[in-house]
Amino acid sequence: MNGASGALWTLAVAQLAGRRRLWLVGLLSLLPAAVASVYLAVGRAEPERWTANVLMNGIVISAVAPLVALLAATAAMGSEIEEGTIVFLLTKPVARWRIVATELLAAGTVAVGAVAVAAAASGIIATWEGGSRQAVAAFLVGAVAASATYTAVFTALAALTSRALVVGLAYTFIWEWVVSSLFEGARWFSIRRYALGIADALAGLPPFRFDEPLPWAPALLAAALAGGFAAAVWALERYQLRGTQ
Amino acid sequence: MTGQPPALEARNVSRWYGNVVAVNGVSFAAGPGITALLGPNGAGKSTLLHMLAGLLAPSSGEVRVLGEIPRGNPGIYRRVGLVPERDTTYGFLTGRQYVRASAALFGLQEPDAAARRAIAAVGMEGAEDRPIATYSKGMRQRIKVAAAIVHEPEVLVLDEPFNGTDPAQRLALMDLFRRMATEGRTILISSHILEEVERLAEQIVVLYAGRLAAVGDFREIRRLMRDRPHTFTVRASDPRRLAACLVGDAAVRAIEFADDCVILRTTDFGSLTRFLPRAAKEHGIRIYELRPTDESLESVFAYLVGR
Repeated sequence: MNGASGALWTLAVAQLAGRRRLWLVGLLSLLPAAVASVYLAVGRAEPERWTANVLMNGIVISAVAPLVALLAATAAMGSEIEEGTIVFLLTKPVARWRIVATELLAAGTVAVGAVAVAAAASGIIATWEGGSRQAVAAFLVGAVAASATYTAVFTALAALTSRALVVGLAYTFIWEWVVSSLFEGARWFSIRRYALGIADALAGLPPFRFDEPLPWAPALLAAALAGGFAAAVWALERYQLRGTQ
Repeated sequence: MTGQPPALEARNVSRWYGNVVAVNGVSFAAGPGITALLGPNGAGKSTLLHMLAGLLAPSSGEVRVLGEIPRGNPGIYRRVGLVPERDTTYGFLTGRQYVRASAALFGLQEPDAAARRAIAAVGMEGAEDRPIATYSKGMRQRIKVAAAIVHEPEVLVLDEPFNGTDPAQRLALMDLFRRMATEGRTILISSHILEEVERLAEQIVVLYAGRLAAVGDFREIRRLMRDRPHTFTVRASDPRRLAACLVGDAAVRAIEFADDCVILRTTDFGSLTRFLPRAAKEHGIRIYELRPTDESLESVFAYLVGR
Protein backbone atom coordinates (compact mmCIF):
# COMPACT_ATOMS: atom_id res chain seq x y z
CA MET A 1 0.00 0.00 0.00
CA ASN A 2 1.66 3.23 -1.05
CA GLY A 3 1.30 6.58 0.69
CA ALA A 4 -1.70 7.82 -1.25
CA SER A 5 -3.72 4.62 -0.78
CA GLY A 6 -2.89 4.57 2.90
CA ALA A 7 -3.99 8.18 3.31
CA LEU A 8 -7.23 7.51 1.42
CA TRP A 9 -7.98 4.51 3.59
CA THR A 10 -7.18 6.36 6.84
CA LEU A 11 -9.44 9.27 5.86
CA ALA A 12 -12.30 6.99 4.78
CA VAL A 13 -12.18 4.92 7.96
CA ALA A 14 -11.90 7.95 10.25
CA GLN A 15 -14.75 9.67 8.41
CA LEU A 16 -16.91 6.57 8.76
CA ALA A 17 -16.01 5.90 12.39
CA GLY A 18 -17.07 9.39 13.39
CA ARG A 19 -20.62 9.03 12.09
CA ARG A 20 -23.39 8.68 14.64
CA ARG A 21 -25.45 6.58 12.25
CA LEU A 22 -23.05 3.70 12.92
CA TRP A 23 -25.03 3.14 16.13
CA LEU A 24 -28.02 2.38 13.96
CA VAL A 25 -25.91 -0.11 12.02
CA GLY A 26 -25.01 -1.82 15.28
CA LEU A 27 -28.65 -1.93 16.39
CA LEU A 28 -29.77 -3.33 13.04
CA SER A 29 -27.13 -6.06 13.20
CA LEU A 30 -28.47 -7.20 16.59
CA LEU A 31 -32.16 -6.95 15.72
CA PRO A 32 -32.48 -10.41 14.02
CA ALA A 33 -30.85 -12.11 17.01
CA ALA A 34 -33.38 -10.45 19.29
CA VAL A 35 -36.26 -11.60 17.09
CA ALA A 36 -34.81 -15.14 16.96
CA SER A 37 -34.56 -15.20 20.76
CA VAL A 38 -38.23 -14.31 21.06
CA TYR A 39 -39.06 -17.04 18.53
CA LEU A 40 -37.01 -19.57 20.50
CA ALA A 41 -38.79 -18.60 23.71
CA VAL A 42 -42.37 -18.73 22.40
CA GLY A 43 -42.88 -20.36 19.00
CA ARG A 44 -40.48 -22.99 17.86
CA ALA A 45 -42.82 -24.41 15.20
CA GLU A 46 -41.08 -25.51 12.01
CA PRO A 47 -37.69 -23.95 12.79
CA GLU A 48 -36.28 -24.50 9.28
CA ARG A 49 -39.21 -22.90 7.54
CA TRP A 50 -39.32 -20.03 10.01
CA THR A 51 -35.58 -19.45 9.79
CA ALA A 52 -35.63 -19.42 6.01
CA ASN A 53 -38.83 -17.52 5.29
CA VAL A 54 -39.20 -15.14 8.19
CA LEU A 55 -35.78 -14.64 9.70
CA MET A 56 -33.40 -14.80 6.73
CA ASN A 57 -35.58 -13.78 3.82
CA GLY A 58 -37.93 -11.50 5.72
CA ILE A 59 -35.52 -9.75 8.07
CA VAL A 60 -31.82 -10.29 7.34
CA ILE A 61 -31.75 -10.20 3.54
CA SER A 62 -34.76 -7.95 2.95
CA ALA A 63 -34.25 -5.36 5.67
CA VAL A 64 -30.93 -5.54 7.49
CA ALA A 65 -28.72 -6.00 4.41
CA PRO A 66 -30.04 -3.02 2.38
CA LEU A 67 -30.52 -0.69 5.37
CA VAL A 68 -27.07 -1.34 6.81
CA ALA A 69 -25.51 -0.89 3.37
CA LEU A 70 -27.44 2.34 2.85
CA LEU A 71 -26.30 3.73 6.20
CA ALA A 72 -22.67 2.72 5.60
CA ALA A 73 -22.53 4.04 2.02
CA THR A 74 -24.08 7.39 2.91
CA ALA A 75 -21.73 7.63 5.90
CA ALA A 76 -18.68 7.03 3.70
CA MET A 77 -19.05 8.44 0.17
CA GLY A 78 -22.15 10.42 1.16
CA SER A 79 -20.34 12.27 3.95
CA GLU A 80 -17.40 13.19 1.73
CA ILE A 81 -19.78 14.86 -0.69
CA GLU A 82 -22.06 16.42 1.93
CA GLU A 83 -19.19 17.85 3.96
CA GLY A 84 -17.32 19.08 0.90
CA THR A 85 -14.22 17.03 1.72
CA ILE A 86 -14.64 15.29 -1.64
CA VAL A 87 -13.07 18.45 -3.13
CA PHE A 88 -9.99 17.80 -1.00
CA LEU A 89 -9.76 14.31 -2.49
CA LEU A 90 -10.63 15.29 -6.05
CA THR A 91 -7.91 17.95 -6.27
CA LYS A 92 -5.23 15.31 -5.78
CA PRO A 93 -3.44 13.32 -8.48
CA VAL A 94 -5.39 10.21 -7.52
CA ALA A 95 -7.48 8.19 -9.99
CA ARG A 96 -11.19 8.48 -9.26
CA TRP A 97 -11.69 4.73 -9.20
CA ARG A 98 -9.26 4.52 -6.28
CA ILE A 99 -11.31 7.02 -4.29
CA VAL A 100 -14.47 5.01 -5.01
CA ALA A 101 -12.74 1.69 -4.24
CA THR A 102 -11.57 3.02 -0.88
CA GLU A 103 -14.94 4.44 0.14
CA LEU A 104 -16.61 1.24 -1.02
CA LEU A 105 -14.15 -0.95 0.86
CA ALA A 106 -14.61 1.05 4.08
CA ALA A 107 -18.41 1.08 3.86
CA GLY A 108 -18.50 -2.53 2.64
CA THR A 109 -16.43 -3.73 5.60
CA VAL A 110 -18.95 -2.19 7.99
CA ALA A 111 -21.99 -3.47 6.09
CA VAL A 112 -20.66 -6.98 5.51
CA GLY A 113 -19.53 -7.24 9.13
CA ALA A 114 -22.90 -6.12 10.44
CA VAL A 115 -24.85 -8.45 8.17
CA ALA A 116 -22.57 -11.40 8.93
CA VAL A 117 -23.16 -10.84 12.65
CA ALA A 118 -26.89 -10.49 12.06
CA ALA A 119 -27.18 -13.68 9.97
CA ALA A 120 -24.86 -15.87 12.05
CA ALA A 121 -26.09 -14.88 15.50
CA SER A 122 -29.80 -15.02 14.65
CA GLY A 123 -29.42 -18.22 12.63
CA ILE A 124 -27.64 -20.03 15.45
CA ILE A 125 -30.26 -18.91 17.98
CA ALA A 126 -33.20 -19.86 15.76
CA THR A 127 -31.85 -23.35 15.09
CA TRP A 128 -30.71 -23.90 18.66
CA GLU A 129 -33.14 -26.73 19.23
CA GLY A 130 -33.00 -28.23 15.77
CA GLY A 131 -32.88 -27.14 12.16
CA SER A 132 -30.31 -27.04 9.42
CA ARG A 133 -27.13 -25.14 10.19
CA GLN A 134 -26.18 -25.66 6.58
CA ALA A 135 -29.15 -23.56 5.57
CA VAL A 136 -28.01 -20.87 8.01
CA ALA A 137 -24.56 -20.90 6.42
CA ALA A 138 -26.12 -20.67 2.97
CA PHE A 139 -28.18 -17.65 3.97
CA LEU A 140 -25.12 -16.11 5.59
CA VAL A 141 -23.27 -16.27 2.27
CA GLY A 142 -26.27 -14.86 0.41
CA ALA A 143 -26.75 -12.05 2.93
CA VAL A 144 -23.09 -11.06 2.91
CA ALA A 145 -23.04 -11.02 -0.90
CA ALA A 146 -26.21 -8.94 -0.90
CA SER A 147 -24.80 -6.40 1.57
CA ALA A 148 -21.61 -5.96 -0.47
CA THR A 149 -23.67 -5.41 -3.63
CA TYR A 150 -26.09 -3.06 -1.91
CA THR A 151 -23.10 -1.06 -0.65
CA ALA A 152 -21.78 -0.66 -4.19
CA VAL A 153 -25.18 0.42 -5.52
CA PHE A 154 -25.75 2.87 -2.67
CA THR A 155 -22.23 4.25 -2.98
CA ALA A 156 -23.08 5.09 -6.58
CA LEU A 157 -26.33 6.63 -5.37
CA ALA A 158 -24.44 8.75 -2.82
CA ALA A 159 -22.10 9.95 -5.56
CA LEU A 160 -25.02 10.75 -7.87
CA THR A 161 -27.46 12.53 -5.57
CA SER A 162 -27.48 14.38 -2.28
CA ARG A 163 -30.75 12.62 -1.46
CA ALA A 164 -29.19 9.14 -1.47
CA LEU A 165 -30.77 8.20 1.87
CA VAL A 166 -34.32 8.93 0.71
CA VAL A 167 -33.83 7.47 -2.77
CA GLY A 168 -32.17 4.38 -1.28
CA LEU A 169 -35.04 3.83 1.16
CA ALA A 170 -37.60 4.27 -1.60
CA TYR A 171 -35.72 1.80 -3.80
CA THR A 172 -35.55 -0.74 -0.98
CA PHE A 173 -39.24 -0.47 -0.06
CA ILE A 174 -40.75 -0.12 -3.49
CA TRP A 175 -38.50 -2.16 -5.71
CA GLU A 176 -36.90 -4.79 -3.50
CA TRP A 177 -39.90 -5.42 -1.25
CA VAL A 178 -43.01 -4.76 -3.27
CA VAL A 179 -42.23 -5.03 -6.98
CA SER A 180 -39.80 -7.96 -6.80
CA SER A 181 -42.35 -9.91 -4.72
CA LEU A 182 -45.34 -9.11 -6.89
CA PHE A 183 -43.84 -9.71 -10.31
CA GLU A 184 -41.81 -12.83 -10.94
CA GLY A 185 -40.00 -11.22 -13.86
CA ALA A 186 -38.59 -8.54 -11.58
CA ARG A 187 -36.50 -11.12 -9.74
CA TRP A 188 -33.95 -10.84 -12.51
CA PHE A 189 -33.31 -7.28 -11.35
CA SER A 190 -33.48 -7.66 -7.59
CA ILE A 191 -30.44 -7.89 -5.33
CA ARG A 192 -32.63 -9.53 -2.70
CA ARG A 193 -33.66 -12.23 -5.13
CA TYR A 194 -30.05 -12.77 -6.25
CA ALA A 195 -29.08 -13.33 -2.61
CA LEU A 196 -31.95 -15.76 -2.11
CA GLY A 197 -30.93 -17.52 -5.30
CA ILE A 198 -27.42 -18.01 -3.93
CA ALA A 199 -28.73 -19.30 -0.59
CA ASP A 200 -31.12 -21.60 -2.45
CA ALA A 201 -28.34 -23.04 -4.60
CA LEU A 202 -26.05 -23.64 -1.62
CA ALA A 203 -28.55 -25.54 0.50
CA GLY A 204 -31.45 -27.72 -0.52
CA LEU A 205 -34.11 -25.78 1.31
CA PRO A 206 -37.74 -26.44 2.09
CA PRO A 207 -40.14 -24.72 -0.27
CA PHE A 208 -40.23 -20.95 -0.09
CA ARG A 209 -42.47 -18.27 -1.38
CA PHE A 210 -39.72 -17.65 -3.95
CA ASP A 211 -40.10 -21.09 -5.50
CA GLU A 212 -38.90 -20.05 -8.92
CA PRO A 213 -35.18 -20.86 -9.03
CA LEU A 214 -32.87 -18.11 -10.17
CA PRO A 215 -29.97 -19.38 -12.25
CA TRP A 216 -26.85 -17.27 -12.62
CA ALA A 217 -27.53 -15.55 -9.28
CA PRO A 218 -23.83 -15.17 -8.36
CA ALA A 219 -23.01 -13.75 -11.78
CA LEU A 220 -25.96 -11.34 -11.65
CA LEU A 221 -24.94 -10.23 -8.19
CA ALA A 222 -21.35 -9.68 -9.30
CA ALA A 223 -22.60 -7.70 -12.28
CA ALA A 224 -24.71 -5.48 -10.02
CA LEU A 225 -21.71 -4.90 -7.77
CA ALA A 226 -19.48 -4.02 -10.71
CA GLY A 227 -22.22 -1.81 -12.13
CA GLY A 228 -22.55 0.09 -8.85
CA PHE A 229 -18.80 0.59 -8.69
CA ALA A 230 -18.61 1.78 -12.29
CA ALA A 231 -21.54 4.16 -11.80
CA ALA A 232 -19.88 5.66 -8.72
CA VAL A 233 -16.64 6.23 -10.65
CA TRP A 234 -18.64 7.74 -13.51
CA ALA A 235 -20.45 10.10 -11.10
CA LEU A 236 -17.22 11.19 -9.42
CA GLU A 237 -15.55 11.91 -12.75
CA ARG A 238 -18.48 14.16 -13.59
CA TYR A 239 -18.69 15.77 -10.17
CA GLN A 240 -19.38 19.51 -10.50
CA LEU A 241 -18.48 21.97 -7.79
CA ARG A 242 -21.14 24.65 -7.92
CA GLY A 243 -20.45 28.19 -6.72
CA THR A 244 -21.37 29.14 -3.18
CA GLN A 245 -24.11 31.59 -4.14
CA MET B 1 8.60 35.17 -25.16
CA THR B 2 9.60 31.54 -24.87
CA GLY B 3 6.45 30.31 -26.53
CA GLN B 4 5.36 28.61 -23.33
CA PRO B 5 1.62 28.63 -22.72
CA PRO B 6 0.40 30.87 -19.91
CA ALA B 7 0.07 29.05 -16.59
CA LEU B 8 -3.63 29.90 -16.39
CA GLU B 9 -5.78 30.72 -19.34
CA ALA B 10 -9.50 31.19 -19.99
CA ARG B 11 -10.56 31.34 -23.62
CA ASN B 12 -13.99 32.81 -24.15
CA VAL B 13 -15.26 30.61 -21.37
CA SER B 14 -18.91 30.57 -20.29
CA ARG B 15 -20.85 28.63 -17.75
CA TRP B 16 -24.57 28.63 -17.28
CA TYR B 17 -26.94 26.79 -14.97
CA GLY B 18 -30.24 26.41 -16.79
CA ASN B 19 -31.21 29.96 -17.68
CA VAL B 20 -28.75 31.60 -15.33
CA VAL B 21 -25.45 32.68 -16.82
CA ALA B 22 -22.77 32.58 -14.15
CA VAL B 23 -19.75 33.29 -16.36
CA ASN B 24 -20.16 34.89 -19.75
CA GLY B 25 -17.47 34.79 -22.43
CA VAL B 26 -14.47 35.49 -20.20
CA SER B 27 -10.94 35.46 -21.60
CA PHE B 28 -7.81 36.20 -19.65
CA ALA B 29 -4.38 34.77 -19.03
CA ALA B 30 -2.16 34.78 -15.97
CA GLY B 31 1.50 33.95 -15.67
CA PRO B 32 4.03 33.91 -12.85
CA GLY B 33 3.19 36.39 -10.10
CA ILE B 34 -0.01 37.26 -8.34
CA THR B 35 -3.25 37.87 -10.22
CA ALA B 36 -6.37 38.96 -8.38
CA LEU B 37 -9.85 38.08 -9.51
CA LEU B 38 -11.96 40.94 -8.20
CA GLY B 39 -15.71 41.24 -8.17
CA PRO B 40 -18.73 41.52 -5.88
CA ASN B 41 -20.43 38.45 -4.47
CA GLY B 42 -22.26 36.56 -7.19
CA ALA B 43 -20.03 37.92 -9.97
CA GLY B 44 -19.01 34.41 -11.03
CA LYS B 45 -15.58 34.36 -9.41
CA SER B 46 -16.01 30.97 -7.76
CA THR B 47 -17.51 29.49 -10.91
CA LEU B 48 -14.52 30.68 -12.93
CA LEU B 49 -12.05 29.38 -10.33
CA HIS B 50 -13.80 26.01 -10.18
CA MET B 51 -13.53 25.71 -13.95
CA LEU B 52 -9.82 26.61 -13.82
CA ALA B 53 -9.36 24.01 -11.07
CA GLY B 54 -11.00 21.31 -13.19
CA LEU B 55 -13.93 20.89 -10.80
CA LEU B 56 -16.54 22.29 -13.15
CA ALA B 57 -17.01 21.80 -16.88
CA PRO B 58 -17.34 25.01 -18.94
CA SER B 59 -20.60 25.26 -20.90
CA SER B 60 -18.61 26.72 -23.78
CA GLY B 61 -15.08 27.90 -24.41
CA GLU B 62 -12.17 26.32 -22.58
CA VAL B 63 -9.75 26.78 -19.75
CA ARG B 64 -6.16 25.65 -19.71
CA VAL B 65 -3.78 25.14 -16.83
CA LEU B 66 -0.11 24.84 -17.71
CA GLY B 67 -1.24 24.23 -21.28
CA GLU B 68 -3.48 21.32 -20.34
CA ILE B 69 -7.22 20.95 -19.96
CA PRO B 70 -7.70 20.39 -16.22
CA ARG B 71 -11.12 18.67 -16.32
CA GLY B 72 -10.81 14.89 -15.99
CA ASN B 73 -7.05 15.23 -15.68
CA PRO B 74 -6.14 14.43 -12.06
CA GLY B 75 -2.43 14.29 -12.94
CA ILE B 76 -2.47 18.09 -13.27
CA TYR B 77 -2.85 18.44 -9.50
CA ARG B 78 0.76 17.40 -9.04
CA ARG B 79 1.53 20.95 -10.22
CA VAL B 80 -1.57 22.79 -9.01
CA GLY B 81 -2.92 23.67 -5.57
CA LEU B 82 -6.50 24.77 -4.85
CA VAL B 83 -7.90 26.51 -1.79
CA PRO B 84 -11.68 26.50 -2.26
CA GLU B 85 -13.91 28.90 -0.39
CA ARG B 86 -15.88 26.06 1.12
CA ASP B 87 -14.53 24.30 4.19
CA THR B 88 -12.89 21.13 2.88
CA THR B 89 -11.22 20.09 6.10
CA TYR B 90 -11.90 16.99 8.17
CA GLY B 91 -12.84 18.36 11.59
CA PHE B 92 -11.74 15.22 13.37
CA LEU B 93 -8.17 15.41 12.07
CA THR B 94 -5.49 17.58 13.62
CA GLY B 95 -3.97 20.24 11.41
CA ARG B 96 -0.82 18.17 11.06
CA GLN B 97 -2.72 14.99 10.09
CA TYR B 98 -4.72 16.95 7.52
CA VAL B 99 -1.68 18.51 5.84
CA ARG B 100 0.18 15.20 6.03
CA ALA B 101 -2.74 13.40 4.36
CA SER B 102 -2.63 16.04 1.65
CA ALA B 103 1.11 15.47 1.17
CA ALA B 104 0.61 11.70 0.96
CA LEU B 105 -2.22 12.10 -1.56
CA PHE B 106 0.03 14.30 -3.68
CA GLY B 107 2.39 11.32 -3.72
CA LEU B 108 5.25 13.08 -1.91
CA GLN B 109 8.14 10.88 -0.81
CA GLU B 110 8.52 12.52 2.61
CA PRO B 111 5.06 13.66 3.60
CA ASP B 112 5.99 14.40 7.22
CA ALA B 113 8.79 16.79 6.33
CA ALA B 114 6.69 18.45 3.63
CA ALA B 115 3.78 18.88 6.06
CA ARG B 116 6.08 20.44 8.65
CA ARG B 117 7.39 22.95 6.10
CA ALA B 118 3.92 23.90 4.88
CA ILE B 119 2.58 24.30 8.42
CA ALA B 120 5.51 26.56 9.27
CA ALA B 121 4.92 28.59 6.11
CA VAL B 122 1.39 29.51 7.23
CA GLY B 123 2.46 30.03 10.84
CA MET B 124 0.37 27.24 12.34
CA GLU B 125 3.11 25.48 14.32
CA GLY B 126 1.46 26.20 17.67
CA ALA B 127 -1.89 24.65 16.83
CA GLU B 128 -0.92 21.81 14.52
CA ASP B 129 -1.76 19.04 16.99
CA ARG B 130 -5.26 20.27 17.80
CA PRO B 131 -8.30 18.89 15.96
CA ILE B 132 -9.35 21.21 13.14
CA ALA B 133 -12.87 21.25 14.64
CA THR B 134 -11.45 23.51 17.38
CA TYR B 135 -9.91 25.99 14.90
CA SER B 136 -11.18 29.50 14.22
CA LYS B 137 -12.18 30.41 10.66
CA GLY B 138 -8.83 32.11 10.08
CA MET B 139 -6.93 29.06 11.30
CA ARG B 140 -8.97 26.80 9.03
CA GLN B 141 -8.14 29.05 6.10
CA ARG B 142 -4.45 28.83 6.91
CA ILE B 143 -4.45 25.05 7.32
CA LYS B 144 -6.29 24.79 3.97
CA VAL B 145 -3.53 26.92 2.41
CA ALA B 146 -0.88 24.69 4.01
CA ALA B 147 -2.57 21.59 2.56
CA ALA B 148 -2.69 23.22 -0.89
CA ILE B 149 0.99 24.31 -0.97
CA VAL B 150 2.47 21.22 0.65
CA HIS B 151 3.63 19.91 -2.75
CA GLU B 152 5.06 23.31 -3.77
CA PRO B 153 2.76 23.72 -6.78
CA GLU B 154 3.59 25.85 -9.82
CA VAL B 155 0.04 27.17 -9.85
CA LEU B 156 -1.96 28.11 -6.78
CA VAL B 157 -5.64 29.03 -7.01
CA LEU B 158 -7.30 30.54 -3.94
CA ASP B 159 -10.98 31.45 -3.50
CA GLU B 160 -11.38 34.30 -0.99
CA PRO B 161 -8.42 33.14 1.12
CA PHE B 162 -8.57 36.15 3.44
CA ASN B 163 -12.15 35.51 4.55
CA GLY B 164 -12.26 35.14 8.30
CA THR B 165 -8.60 36.00 8.82
CA ASP B 166 -7.57 38.78 11.18
CA PRO B 167 -5.27 41.57 9.93
CA ALA B 168 -2.08 39.97 11.23
CA GLN B 169 -2.94 36.61 9.65
CA ARG B 170 -3.83 38.39 6.44
CA LEU B 171 -0.46 40.13 6.28
CA ALA B 172 1.34 36.86 6.99
CA LEU B 173 -0.57 35.10 4.21
CA MET B 174 0.16 37.98 1.83
CA ASP B 175 3.86 37.68 2.62
CA LEU B 176 3.69 33.98 1.89
CA PHE B 177 1.98 34.55 -1.47
CA ARG B 178 4.50 37.26 -2.40
CA ARG B 179 7.35 34.92 -1.55
CA MET B 180 5.83 32.17 -3.68
CA ALA B 181 5.32 34.66 -6.51
CA THR B 182 8.97 35.69 -6.47
CA GLU B 183 9.83 32.00 -6.84
CA GLY B 184 8.09 32.15 -10.21
CA ARG B 185 4.79 30.54 -9.21
CA THR B 186 1.47 31.62 -10.63
CA ILE B 187 -1.03 32.64 -7.98
CA LEU B 188 -4.67 33.51 -8.61
CA ILE B 189 -6.60 35.00 -5.70
CA SER B 190 -10.27 35.90 -5.74
CA SER B 191 -11.63 38.68 -3.58
CA HIS B 192 -14.54 41.10 -3.40
CA ILE B 193 -12.45 43.80 -1.73
CA LEU B 194 -10.15 45.93 -3.87
CA GLU B 195 -8.12 47.19 -0.90
CA GLU B 196 -7.38 43.59 0.02
CA VAL B 197 -5.64 42.76 -3.22
CA GLU B 198 -4.48 46.05 -4.69
CA ARG B 199 -1.16 46.01 -2.88
CA LEU B 200 -0.71 42.32 -3.55
CA ALA B 201 -1.54 41.66 -7.17
CA GLU B 202 0.40 42.75 -10.20
CA GLN B 203 -2.62 42.07 -12.34
CA ILE B 204 -6.26 42.57 -11.42
CA VAL B 205 -9.02 40.89 -13.37
CA VAL B 206 -12.38 42.51 -12.60
CA LEU B 207 -15.46 40.33 -12.99
CA TYR B 208 -19.00 41.66 -12.74
CA ALA B 209 -22.24 39.79 -13.43
CA GLY B 210 -20.26 37.02 -15.10
CA ARG B 211 -18.49 39.34 -17.53
CA LEU B 212 -14.94 40.54 -17.68
CA ALA B 213 -15.12 44.22 -16.67
CA ALA B 214 -11.47 45.24 -16.73
CA VAL B 215 -7.95 43.87 -16.66
CA GLY B 216 -4.95 45.83 -15.49
CA ASP B 217 -2.71 46.68 -12.59
CA PHE B 218 -4.27 48.34 -9.57
CA ARG B 219 -3.32 51.85 -10.70
CA GLU B 220 -5.24 51.31 -13.87
CA ILE B 221 -8.27 49.91 -12.03
CA ARG B 222 -8.14 52.82 -9.57
CA ARG B 223 -8.00 55.31 -12.44
CA LEU B 224 -10.95 53.69 -14.17
CA MET B 225 -12.90 53.97 -10.95
CA ARG B 226 -11.95 57.61 -10.34
CA ASP B 227 -12.65 58.83 -13.84
CA ARG B 228 -16.06 57.32 -14.16
CA PRO B 229 -19.06 59.68 -13.95
CA HIS B 230 -20.24 60.24 -10.39
CA THR B 231 -23.86 60.70 -9.48
CA PHE B 232 -24.90 63.04 -6.66
CA THR B 233 -28.18 63.83 -5.02
CA VAL B 234 -28.53 67.44 -3.92
CA ARG B 235 -31.31 68.58 -1.61
CA ALA B 236 -31.76 72.35 -1.77
CA SER B 237 -34.29 75.09 -1.01
CA ASP B 238 -34.94 75.79 -4.70
CA PRO B 239 -33.91 72.75 -6.71
CA ARG B 240 -35.03 74.08 -10.10
CA ARG B 241 -33.08 77.30 -9.81
CA LEU B 242 -30.05 75.36 -8.58
CA ALA B 243 -30.33 73.08 -11.59
CA ALA B 244 -30.40 76.08 -13.89
CA CYS B 245 -27.10 77.24 -12.39
CA LEU B 246 -25.51 73.80 -12.55
CA VAL B 247 -26.07 73.68 -16.30
CA GLY B 248 -23.21 76.20 -16.40
CA ASP B 249 -20.71 73.66 -15.04
CA ALA B 250 -19.07 72.07 -18.08
CA ALA B 251 -18.40 68.82 -16.21
CA VAL B 252 -22.07 68.22 -15.45
CA ARG B 253 -23.40 65.63 -17.86
CA ALA B 254 -27.01 65.18 -16.80
CA ILE B 255 -29.58 66.70 -14.46
CA GLU B 256 -32.75 65.05 -13.23
CA PHE B 257 -35.44 65.92 -10.68
CA ALA B 258 -36.85 63.65 -8.04
CA ASP B 259 -39.18 64.93 -5.28
CA ASP B 260 -37.36 67.98 -3.94
CA CYS B 261 -33.93 66.80 -5.04
CA VAL B 262 -31.67 67.33 -8.00
CA ILE B 263 -29.84 64.25 -9.21
CA LEU B 264 -26.82 65.14 -11.28
CA ARG B 265 -24.09 63.28 -13.06
CA THR B 266 -20.66 64.78 -13.42
CA THR B 267 -17.35 63.56 -14.80
CA ASP B 268 -15.34 65.86 -12.58
CA PHE B 269 -16.01 65.65 -8.91
CA GLY B 270 -13.47 68.42 -8.11
CA SER B 271 -15.09 70.95 -10.38
CA LEU B 272 -18.50 70.27 -8.83
CA THR B 273 -17.24 70.91 -5.30
CA ARG B 274 -15.95 74.32 -6.39
CA PHE B 275 -18.91 75.26 -8.56
CA LEU B 276 -21.80 74.23 -6.33
CA PRO B 277 -21.17 76.41 -3.23
CA ARG B 278 -20.39 79.45 -5.39
CA ALA B 279 -23.59 79.07 -7.41
CA ALA B 280 -25.65 78.53 -4.26
CA LYS B 281 -24.27 81.64 -2.60
CA GLU B 282 -24.72 83.83 -5.67
CA HIS B 283 -28.39 82.89 -6.06
CA GLY B 284 -29.29 82.62 -2.40
CA ILE B 285 -30.09 78.92 -2.53
CA ARG B 286 -29.68 76.86 0.62
CA ILE B 287 -28.11 73.44 0.19
CA TYR B 288 -29.33 70.92 2.77
CA GLU B 289 -27.57 67.84 1.58
CA LEU B 290 -25.04 66.69 -1.02
CA ARG B 291 -24.77 62.97 -1.20
CA PRO B 292 -23.06 60.61 -3.63
CA THR B 293 -25.65 58.05 -4.77
CA ASP B 294 -23.61 55.33 -6.37
CA GLU B 295 -20.46 54.87 -4.36
CA SER B 296 -21.04 51.19 -3.72
CA LEU B 297 -18.52 48.81 -5.22
CA GLU B 298 -21.44 47.28 -7.11
CA SER B 299 -22.01 50.46 -9.09
CA VAL B 300 -18.30 50.82 -9.74
CA PHE B 301 -18.22 47.35 -11.21
CA ALA B 302 -21.42 47.94 -13.13
CA TYR B 303 -19.89 51.05 -14.65
CA LEU B 304 -16.76 49.18 -15.68
CA VAL B 305 -18.84 46.54 -17.46
CA GLY B 306 -21.09 49.05 -19.19
CA ARG B 307 -18.18 51.16 -20.37
